[in-house]
Amino acid sequence: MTELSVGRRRFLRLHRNPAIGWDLPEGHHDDPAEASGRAALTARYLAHALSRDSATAGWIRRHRLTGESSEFSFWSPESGPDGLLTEAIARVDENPPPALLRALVTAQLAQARTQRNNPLVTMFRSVESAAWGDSPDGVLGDQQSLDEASGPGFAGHLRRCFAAGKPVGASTPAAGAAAQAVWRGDVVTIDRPGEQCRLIMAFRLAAEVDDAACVALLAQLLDGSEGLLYRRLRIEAGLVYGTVAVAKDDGRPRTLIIGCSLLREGLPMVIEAFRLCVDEIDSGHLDRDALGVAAGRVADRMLTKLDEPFGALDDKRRRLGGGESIGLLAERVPAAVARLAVTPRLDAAFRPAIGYVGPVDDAVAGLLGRLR
Amino acid sequence: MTQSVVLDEVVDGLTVIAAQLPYARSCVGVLSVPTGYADDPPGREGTAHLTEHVCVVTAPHRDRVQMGARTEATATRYSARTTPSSTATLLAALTSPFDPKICPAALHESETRAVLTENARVRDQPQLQVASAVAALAAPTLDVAFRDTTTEHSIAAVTPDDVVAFRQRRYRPTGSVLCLVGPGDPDELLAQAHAAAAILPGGREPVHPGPARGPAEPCQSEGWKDCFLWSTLTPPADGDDDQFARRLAVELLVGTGGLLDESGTAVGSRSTGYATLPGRHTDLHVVAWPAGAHTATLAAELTERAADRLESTGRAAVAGARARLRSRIAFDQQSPGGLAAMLVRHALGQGPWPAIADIDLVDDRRVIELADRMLRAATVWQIADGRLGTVSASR
Repeated sequence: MTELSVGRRRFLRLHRNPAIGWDLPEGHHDDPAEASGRAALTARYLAHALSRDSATAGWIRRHRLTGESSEFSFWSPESGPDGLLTEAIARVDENPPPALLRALVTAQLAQARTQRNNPLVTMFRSVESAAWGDSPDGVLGDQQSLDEASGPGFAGHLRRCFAAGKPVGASTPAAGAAAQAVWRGDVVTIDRPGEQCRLIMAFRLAAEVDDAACVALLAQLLDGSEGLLYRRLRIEAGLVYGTVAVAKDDGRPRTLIIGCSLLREGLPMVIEAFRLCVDEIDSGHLDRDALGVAAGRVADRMLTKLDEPFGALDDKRRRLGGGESIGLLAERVPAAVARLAVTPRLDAAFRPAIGYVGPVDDAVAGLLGRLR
Repeated sequence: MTQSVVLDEVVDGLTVIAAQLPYARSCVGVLSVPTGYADDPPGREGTAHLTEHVCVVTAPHRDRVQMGARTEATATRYSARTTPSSTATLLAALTSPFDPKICPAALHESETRAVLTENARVRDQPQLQVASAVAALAAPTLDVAFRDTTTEHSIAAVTPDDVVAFRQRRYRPTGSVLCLVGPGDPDELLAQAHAAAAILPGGREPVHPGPARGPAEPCQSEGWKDCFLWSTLTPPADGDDDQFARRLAVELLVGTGGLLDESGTAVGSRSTGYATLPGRHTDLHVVAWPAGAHTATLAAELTERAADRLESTGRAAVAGARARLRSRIAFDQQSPGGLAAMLVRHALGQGPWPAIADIDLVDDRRVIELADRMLRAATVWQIADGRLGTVSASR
């Protein structure tokens, strides 16, 4: 017999307010060569100042630094924070005390170290470098460049920067996407002796499937513990721990990124299994039922993200940047199922970009060469 | 402002919670089972973690339900997500860990490798082990100091039958919590959860405590970078009403713009890491700063002057902590997963009832008193040449 306690009915009041955005029109590409890390330091200082202002202390803050802009997003459980934000930014001291700047520089350098030591960050950076020649390690700068950035010219830079900052709105110009990016299709290896290996590849998409809905659906089909990659490489072959598949849609040509983590001794077998997976992605039969399930998930994930506190603001930025609304994109995902029946799905004109993080020995280059 | 209805009841020892998030477009479920790697049988370390893997990969409806899990020292938490129309399949997946079935040998082997590879991934990130190393020295007899000591040898000794036996012995409805959050009618959600809970197999008696564990062994890790650390334990909550006071005291000390943050800034440094190790009754908090010329000054600041700073800035500091905590909780509870996690913690007695208006009801003096106790009980440490050691004893 079921034993049941008397239940309770309680109520929670949830504060569903819109987020607000404020963007500086300078990103890390605008850093002078001798003062790399300046855009990141500017953002760090602004975040510090706003977290100490009585009007904005405690707000949830998110920041994204791109090559062209520095994007702040704020959320508060209180209503009507727009005016409070503008006033708080106007109160920011444009002559920060030297001791504070030193502390912020120290923290930025420590963050750079932490990122370099994080194998997952390193893995994704390796493939971005292999694909586009990015050098993301320089975004936060080093001691010398940050000394220069935080020197006597910093106050003038802050004045100019803050004056040009704007709330995200209809008048915000579209962020200058990295449209000039040139595909390299290189191999980048990063030696991490004694560590687990990470293998990652990026592909350009064939014209027939080079579409935000198609690449998102393809990545969903491959990603996660339900994905095709996981099934092939872990459940069936028992070769890897984790797999990842990501659709990259950042203003440059869209790419599909796939990767896995493994032990070094498994690398030769994983390379062969990975090649078979790439062939399957490119020209294999993709199960229509599995694609249908993936389409449901990807649309669900997009709409769930849209419902989160920063979702509508992210969508607004996306549209201002010339992108498609997430809501409309989610509606198009089911139609992408049929489009992915077309083969080939990857563009053979572009060599894949390959990143490898882990112990590098004499055999690694040859093994990675088999993926070309 | 949106109102969420939260229902709960206890069915055969299992606490069942259903909450409505009217605007959510997915349904999320969380199951917390009161066993973890602290209950690993001696010589078979890795059993709890492997059991978690087996439960996930053998759960039904995995094509429609996205499922994940995490093994902690004294709890294993499963989470699942699906569309609102598939709540029944989500419940079937989420309650399947209570129904132990023998796992095929091939799957058992591949998941054993997966656990080892996952552990290797953690070993690759030495910073993740700093808090555990501090716990082993600061609170070796408390559950926060339990570490997962799985080795290749110990997990190789775990058989599929061992996993079944572990589930039979440790996965009991009594003491577990099942929470569902979705956009639908909460009475309907609760009825579905109730029906699923009422037919669960397994004994109804509570789980017996695992084998007694001795004090944690000190541990060191290759690859640690030099840094300076501060740690303290949260005082146990004095009843449900005290939960927000504890959270506020922690926020006042270690939050952004909190007392430690300001102390670091005052000596030209900024913290670079913060970790909490949650325990059944008390949590360990560890804050890290880069090592440098300021280390001695910061140590003195934290051990000799922080209590005075707290006294002088007390009420203003509490106001700042209230604002930060209010925002964070209000933010997190807007997603089904965030709200479910809060409701589960509350049901387990590890967190407050998440009504943010209650934050304003907490007495400033209680928050300051708790923060002062945490400050006075704190210890400062350093990692130098890859070794962890105390800088000075607590006051």
